[in-house]
Amino acid sequence: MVRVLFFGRLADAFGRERAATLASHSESVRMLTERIASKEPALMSALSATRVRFAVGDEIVPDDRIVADGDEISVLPPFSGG
Amino acid sequence: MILLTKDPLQPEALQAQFAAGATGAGAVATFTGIVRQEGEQGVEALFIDHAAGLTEREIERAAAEAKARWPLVDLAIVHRVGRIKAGEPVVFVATASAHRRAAFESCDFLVDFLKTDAPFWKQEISRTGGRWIEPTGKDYTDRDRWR
Repeated sequence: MVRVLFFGRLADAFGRERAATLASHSESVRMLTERIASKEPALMSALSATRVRFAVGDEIVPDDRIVADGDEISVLPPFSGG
Repeated sequence: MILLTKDPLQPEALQAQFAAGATGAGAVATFTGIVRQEGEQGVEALFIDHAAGLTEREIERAAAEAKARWPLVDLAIVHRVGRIKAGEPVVFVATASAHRRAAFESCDFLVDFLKTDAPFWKQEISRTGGRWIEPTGKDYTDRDRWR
């Protein structure tokens, strides 16, 4: 199983306390996110309107990072602090 | 010191504490960012989302870069998260060095980093609802000055 967390506008679009837990396949973090979004029109719309990056645990990873069982994956829209 | 907090910031106390601890420094530069009231609707508050763990790690990475680029005695980054009312401080950055140029420049560098490259997400809350804000072209241009 993997856990996927959404942040910022993506958390709003996904709802449900921002988190999804699902079975892992051999796929990239981007493909996994698109698989979740394919069943979530609001999330799909938010994803297509922005450029996202991904983190596994506390580390930012490339979009093609392959998911491993036990991963906690964060889906990150453009950062905006300060 | 790197700290994320839901509690209100007290910049004067943070500045005094930082300066007192920066032994040997000849210059302390500080920046305080405040939630603006702007637009026709009037922004009542900001909501700042963050990714616990990842956000701290990325800020620590930028702090290490600042220490590698400038001869700093110390630095501090305190960022609020959660809901912050208009008029309240949202971020405090301080740097200390032997001389002013390193203190000014490293403080500027860290604030530019926080605007565009630290994992925060900022939502303006007004009477009509919430609006997620992304960095402007100017924010990215400011950040690129350091590359």
